Amino acid sequence: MVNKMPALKPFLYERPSSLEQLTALLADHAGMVPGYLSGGTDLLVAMRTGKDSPELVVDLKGLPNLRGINRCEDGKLWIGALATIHSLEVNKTIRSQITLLFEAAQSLGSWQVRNRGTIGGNLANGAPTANTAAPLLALDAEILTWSPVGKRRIPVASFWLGARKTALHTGEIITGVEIPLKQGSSSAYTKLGPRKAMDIAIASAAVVLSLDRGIIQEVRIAMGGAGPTPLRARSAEAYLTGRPALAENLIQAGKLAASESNPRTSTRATREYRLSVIPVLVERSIRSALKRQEGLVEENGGEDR
Amino acid sequence: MTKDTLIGKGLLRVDAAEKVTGMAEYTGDLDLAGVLEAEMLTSPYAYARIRSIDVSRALSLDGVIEVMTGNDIKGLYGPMVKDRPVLAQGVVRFAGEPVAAVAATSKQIAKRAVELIDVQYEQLKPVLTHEEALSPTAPLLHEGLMDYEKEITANVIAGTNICNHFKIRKGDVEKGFAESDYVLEETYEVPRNHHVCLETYSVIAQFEKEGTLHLWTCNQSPYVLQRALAALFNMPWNKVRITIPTLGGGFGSRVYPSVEPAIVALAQRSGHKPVRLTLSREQDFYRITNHGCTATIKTGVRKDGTIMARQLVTYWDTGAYADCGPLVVRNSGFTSAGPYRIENVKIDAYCVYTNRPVATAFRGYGIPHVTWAYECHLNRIAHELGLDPLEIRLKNVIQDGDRSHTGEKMVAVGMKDCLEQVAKAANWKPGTKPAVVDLGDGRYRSLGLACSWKGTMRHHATSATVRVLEEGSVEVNCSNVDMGQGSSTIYAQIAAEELGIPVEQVTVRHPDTFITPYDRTTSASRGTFHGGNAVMNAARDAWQQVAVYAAKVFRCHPDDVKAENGLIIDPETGHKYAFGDILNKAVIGGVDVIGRGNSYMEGGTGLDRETGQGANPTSFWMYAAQIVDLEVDTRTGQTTVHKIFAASDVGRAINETNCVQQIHGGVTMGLGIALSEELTFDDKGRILNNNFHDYKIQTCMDVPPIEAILVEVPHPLGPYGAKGLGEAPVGPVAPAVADAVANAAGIWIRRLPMTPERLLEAFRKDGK
Repeated sequence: MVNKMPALKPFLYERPSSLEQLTALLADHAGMVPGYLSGGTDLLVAMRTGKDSPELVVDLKGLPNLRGINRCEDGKLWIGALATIHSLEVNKTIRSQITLLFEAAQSLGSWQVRNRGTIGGNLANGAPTANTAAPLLALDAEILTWSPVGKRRIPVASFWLGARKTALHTGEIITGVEIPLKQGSSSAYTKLGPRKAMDIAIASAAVVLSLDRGIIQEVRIAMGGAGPTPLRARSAEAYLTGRPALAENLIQAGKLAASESNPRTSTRATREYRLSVIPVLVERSIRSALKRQEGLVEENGGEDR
Repeated sequence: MTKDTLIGKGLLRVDAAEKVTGMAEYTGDLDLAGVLEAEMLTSPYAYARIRSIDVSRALSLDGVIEVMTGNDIKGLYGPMVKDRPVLAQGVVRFAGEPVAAVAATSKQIAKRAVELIDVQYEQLKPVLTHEEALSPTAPLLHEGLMDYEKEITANVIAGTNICNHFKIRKGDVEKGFAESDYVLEETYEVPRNHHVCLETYSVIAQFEKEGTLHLWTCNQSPYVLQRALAALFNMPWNKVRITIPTLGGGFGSRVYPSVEPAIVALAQRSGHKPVRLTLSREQDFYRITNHGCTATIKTGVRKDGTIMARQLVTYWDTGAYADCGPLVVRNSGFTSAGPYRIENVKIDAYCVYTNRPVATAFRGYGIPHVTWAYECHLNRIAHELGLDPLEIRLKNVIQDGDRSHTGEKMVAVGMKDCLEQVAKAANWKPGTKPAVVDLGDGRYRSLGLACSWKGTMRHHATSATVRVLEEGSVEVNCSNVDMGQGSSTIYAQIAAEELGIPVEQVTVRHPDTFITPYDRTTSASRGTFHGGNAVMNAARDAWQQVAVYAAKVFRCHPDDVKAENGLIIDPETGHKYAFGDILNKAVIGGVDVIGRGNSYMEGGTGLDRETGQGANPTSFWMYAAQIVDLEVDTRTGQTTVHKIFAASDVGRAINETNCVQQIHGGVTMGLGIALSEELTFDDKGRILNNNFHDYKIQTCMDVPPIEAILVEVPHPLGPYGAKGLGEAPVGPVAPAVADAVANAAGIWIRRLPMTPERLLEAFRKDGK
């Protein structure tokens, strides 16, 4: 029916306060596919329109140890799955050292959505254009999960399996994300949408790179909206590595990135339009990241301020 | 009488505090005992015959009170053509058309009941565009068109899907083209848009025990609704009570009845219980939309830019039912050659039925559509002639004493003033084309210009009463609805001004047809002009009565009595008295005073059906000119608007802040139309983006600084010289944006909205 909101289907609501309780809960309702609720900015919308109708809604907000953003001893940054998008944009480490994640968080939705939405939810929802997805892919992050059968560490590169499909098993939850922090690298995230707020990207590009005397040393490029999952532009990365940071090389990298893309036509944009803008976004992200290399010298060793 | 102290002041809106604190009560907030919740079953098909409807399963659901279909309610309604059934009668003409209505004890039950109704359809091939509808092989969507009751405005053409053909024949366009040095013909398109009221539609109907139909609704024209419902349900007007709580936006989408008749029909069968329907956002998108329009415009000019002749043929997709489409086509039609002196004008405007949702009034009443065509077209002509867009306008714009295209002798024309003042603000010098700034990486920045004019409607009446209560507080009763435009504040200000009291002592009542007197409509930017005149006259009438009482007490002539800050002054002694002291002294036991005021002007004319000529078709005109400063990214098609300069001739600003806010709102709406808003449909006539996720209005992050410029060319008949304002700022935005894009990057866009994808495609075609 075209303009009718379906009646909301009845569902059970549970709010476990420990992983033990969650284990018991899942055992009690074996056979049901739980709908996990954290910020609710995706789940509730899907339930309202009838796109999703879980019989069991499990609210994760009562679980301990899923919040916060902390430096680990091995120099990585741990972000709890329930960390809100807003908490990412105000975190000093993220602002100063993981600029692309800051840019991605800052350009997600609206204040209201950023205050509710969580990084765990943004990833588990599985959208190829999710703001935090391409940055984490470019950062080579790991996704930490829990399920009654045990914990896993999933490299982001193998997290997305297809359109809205992730490596998460039924009942498995994301507990957090670990991001390696590397001295000397700079980054940038560029998102293209028809509006400057409250918009999902038509396409996006995330870049992390390091530079030595004008030569690109290490570079990772990830793209959102360029295919059914967030994608690495590996041939563009290979091309740039060891090459000087010159305009023509950046343009070539953008072209290579587009050739690695396979976007679709959706109500938001056509495949052709996405293919046209991906090289521009990649090129501009690289350029922004390079520009930030200049600032790195002064900021070298700059810790949380 | 009193000093002009309050007129022009930027006073705070009288309803600001209740709105920002959430205390304002909207229709959906009303808590009526025993209220039943309604839901509609709507057609999934744009065009189909209904073979059968089985409601038995829905009726047997616990908590369901009533299930109605087209078999249970006859009668047709519609403001221009009575073509619309309350619930579909054997045929559905658009996807989203109500087929059945349910009342139940909860919304959830009503929704479930709707899912249990079984309708068998026989699908027909829908007619989705005006081209399809005008093809000789197209089905007649309304076979009874000639037999329907209709207003004189609806110049229907037998045997077609055309429910109005509006014409202007002035001079000889062929001769004008022949005498021109340069003739250009182009076609411009505006897609369907949506009004996007913050409040989704909500209505409650109850048959009260004394035989009154009481309707609470977020409609912007209570008396239109009263009369339409009285006719449909065969009731005397004084038994139909329309109460309008706080309104969360209107923009033209709430002038005429839409879902009300079906809810009234449910309420007839509910045993005196109130029945409520509140639409979801997704449903609200289907309730009503803006027209789509295709305009072919041809203009002949001399080398120096003098316009010799102009011809327009416009097609308006009005959807499955006419609603006010024929009037939109007429009222935009007679302005559609633009605010220019042109000797030879020929207009043909066609209002066409299609199998799409119903289109209605939209802030500007068709003027944004025609402004898009005639302003883009003029900018293109200026470019081809090597003239500056400002220069060509200053040369041709209509001025005091000129004749309009219908033959009206124009007065108080602020068009040139608007152009000059906006140009000055943006530092655009006549005769110099705007500079292009190359920002690098494919980005260019420049300016663009456009202007527009708009008539209001005929001299329809608005009445008001102003009651002075004995202790000096004052009540204003007027049925012009404050839907966010701020009319309550204007009325309070005018009443306070005339009575010499502080604004805080005035309360403006919500419209209620049992209390507040007649007003034709809240539309056509007529609230300040007509409502303002009515309130001003009512307040003056009230003051004259107060002055007579005071004169009796002071033993002086009433003309010598004055009031200031809520105190009446004895002209002889200079002593000041409270209103209550005087009224109580004058009449034993005290008295309240009721002043009456009307706004009705003689001399209005219609427009001749064959020539479109008529000397006085509108009470006043509005003028607006805008300059857009934007940057365009030729590599992605994205635009960044840096600033919009927006001049509007308001006649006289009653409330400066309100005027500025109206311009901000209109420009913001125009910017959405320019850049991002478009209802998209699938090939079955269903809306693809009936939600805020996919229908892109401008957010506060997108809207640039807007410099509002209030031009004041006073109108001889307006209250204190005021004209209307609300609609005029919408139209110029899109053509000014297009002009800036053309100046910055050399491409000419003819279809809205100018999305990044559409612009990039244009750059590609242009070889950029």
